[in-house]
Amino acid sequence: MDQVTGAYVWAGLIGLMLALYVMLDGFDLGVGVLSLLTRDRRLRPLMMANIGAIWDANETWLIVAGGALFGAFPLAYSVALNAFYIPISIMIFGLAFRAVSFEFGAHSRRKALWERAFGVGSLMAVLGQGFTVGGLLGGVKVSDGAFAGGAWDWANGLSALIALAVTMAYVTIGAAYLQTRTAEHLAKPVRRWLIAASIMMAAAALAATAVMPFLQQRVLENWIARKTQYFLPGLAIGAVFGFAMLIVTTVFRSRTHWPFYLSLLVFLLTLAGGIAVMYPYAIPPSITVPQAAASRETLVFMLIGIGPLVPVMLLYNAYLYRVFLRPEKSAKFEDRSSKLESGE
Amino acid sequence: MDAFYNPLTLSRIQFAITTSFHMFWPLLTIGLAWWLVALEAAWLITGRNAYYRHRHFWGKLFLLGFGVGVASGLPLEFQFGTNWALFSRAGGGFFGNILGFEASMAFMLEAAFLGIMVFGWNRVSRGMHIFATIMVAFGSTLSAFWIMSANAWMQTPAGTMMVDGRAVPVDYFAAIFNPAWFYSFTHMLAACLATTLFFIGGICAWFVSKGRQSQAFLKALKGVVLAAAVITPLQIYLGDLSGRGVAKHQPAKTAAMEAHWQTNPPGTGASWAIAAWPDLDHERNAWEVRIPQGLSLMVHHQPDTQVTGLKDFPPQDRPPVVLPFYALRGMVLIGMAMFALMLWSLVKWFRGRLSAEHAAQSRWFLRAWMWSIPLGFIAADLGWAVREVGRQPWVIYNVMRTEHGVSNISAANAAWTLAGYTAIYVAILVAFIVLARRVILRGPDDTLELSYGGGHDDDAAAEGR
Repeated sequence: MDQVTGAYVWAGLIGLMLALYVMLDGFDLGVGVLSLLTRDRRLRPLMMANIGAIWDANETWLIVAGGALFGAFPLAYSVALNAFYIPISIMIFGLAFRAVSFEFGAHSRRKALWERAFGVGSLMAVLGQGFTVGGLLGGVKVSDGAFAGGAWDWANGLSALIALAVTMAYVTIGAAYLQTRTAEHLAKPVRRWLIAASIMMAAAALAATAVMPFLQQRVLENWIARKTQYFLPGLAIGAVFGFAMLIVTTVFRSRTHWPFYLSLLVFLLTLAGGIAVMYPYAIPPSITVPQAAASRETLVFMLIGIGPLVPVMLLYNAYLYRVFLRPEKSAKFEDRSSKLESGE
Repeated sequence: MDAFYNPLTLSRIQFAITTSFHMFWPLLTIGLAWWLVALEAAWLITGRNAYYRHRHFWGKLFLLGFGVGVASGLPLEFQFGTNWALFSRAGGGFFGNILGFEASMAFMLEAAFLGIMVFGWNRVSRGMHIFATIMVAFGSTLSAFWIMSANAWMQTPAGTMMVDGRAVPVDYFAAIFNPAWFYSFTHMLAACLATTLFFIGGICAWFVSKGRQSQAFLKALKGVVLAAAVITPLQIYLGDLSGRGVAKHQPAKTAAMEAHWQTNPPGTGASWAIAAWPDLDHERNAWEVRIPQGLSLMVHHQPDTQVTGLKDFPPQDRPPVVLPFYALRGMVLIGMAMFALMLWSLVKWFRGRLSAEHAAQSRWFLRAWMWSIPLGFIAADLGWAVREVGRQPWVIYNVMRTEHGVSNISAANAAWTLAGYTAIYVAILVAFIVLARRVILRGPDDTLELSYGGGHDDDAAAEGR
């Protein structure tokens, strides 16, 4: 395997890890943001109880993706984290809050405080991720293999739109997930958020898509290029169709689980669209994927070390989910939240 | 450039604070995880309910620590990129690779089975449950292996070649098992176990002193003493091994941490300074208390051997002296204190003074155990300071200087994250102490409903209440 092939294999693997992260952690980030919006006090502990056993494993996908990026694409890792110092730091602070709020909340007398910390941490993490993605799509100034821009380069209209779209996407996923797990009397406000957030997500994503080609010649060229001519419209049609189905199934309550899967589908298609817009760059507009990658030796060795583990990791995550997320009636949740309080 | 308010100094302080703080939690949780395995195994084998309840008690403390470990470990992984972009670019091809291994092999294992370990009681079989507990302990230990291997590579970068300023691995075996990895990993692992043992022992002593479940906690304390009888002398041996390894591979670090300025002439022995005040301007110690031939004995295990002095290194290649010198002595002192307390405990035990009726009277003995709760944490942080400050001015030893590794960020940016991390860590530490204290005060819950039907309450456990 040569270096270029290795670089694209690793780009695909990291893409898979990020997709898994978004799919698995997306709903608990979304539930966290939602917990800030609800005034219904009964709902908040229930939200927390629903994700207590699995958030840690979910978040681990981000750590795995981060480690893989560091090893396989040291240049992209160093330039991106340097360029997005502020949003990344905000995300880390947020994730730190989230990490402690579960165990601490279980023992604290002021549970509401830690629930709030979980919500605020989730929001910080989501905004940090949104602005990072937005800033990346907007392009990063690089000279001599190092970040050469300013600390606030990422803060602009485009990244704000994308951050809004990402936040609302997480809220949509979170609400859709809660809907599959909640008793009917609690489901009504959840459904309202689901519809509102998904509409905002779609609007922000569309607006970002519409302005991007005007901001960057490169994106426009990419859009009309032969390679992506059919691919991108396909993704777009899929996303729009998924979004329409999401609204329909939510409004008519015909299938409680569909909105969740559809929201994931829409998010993944949009993510794929974002990656397609970046191709062949790891750091637009100057560092391509092979340029950003480590040496052939590193890529191959990492593939030998981590590649076979990906299915294994999937397997024990699947086991974890099988143990904890069997479809259950809401009576069981009381049981789980009381377990959460006892700490173990 | 301002001596303090610049991205390099602020990033270094931030890294020092985040690492020192993060280290506390693996120190606690790696050892505690194996303690949980031991208790759960004892419960499965004997069927005594007391083991089950103690397993849950320590499990709560483990979880509190684990949460903080994740919260404080995450910033480290990303900090390499945010604050040390040029180091990441240069070293990523090996160093980042190893962090990727750590995340996918060790951390993922730990995180996935943690969910089962904590929430899986009654949901999975007993066998599966203890398997999950073992996987958590194994994962955390494996994690330490990869992290120490990566850090050891920064101390003794072997198996890689710098091509266009990037580390390219040429011999993975040599790079992972680089000259420093063995003494680094084993010394750290023993530190984790020792720290946890004295943490557990101190808490046991508190319960004994209060007369709460004395029988059960004395039993636990005896287990701790037995384990410490193996670990503390082993740790002293591993410390000696590390010292000799450093002298061989990083002589400038040895010279700095011993405040040894002048290479001793051949045929004579280098003396060892117990205490000294280094005078950097005049390249000597302002005052010192020395033991003749001590340093030669320590470094080479022979009295009349040469030890390279600091003056043999150009001034710009010398590490700081004061901090490594005193941090090393603090660490060694604590290690000796732990060893002494272990001996004292053994003597008491053989005299039959560790029984429920006698132990509660040994106030000073129990106090000594309680006071030793923070000792391991302090010693490990001091040792880490020797290791990292002693590596300066290099970030990758003799390959890349620390000042060439820093990101293109403003001092203001480095300052606000430094303030943010410090504030968050102080808040987390306070919350941890408050909550851990609450868990400890509450003690093992003897009304705790047993999973899997339960075993029997034997005499010892019943009496202990």
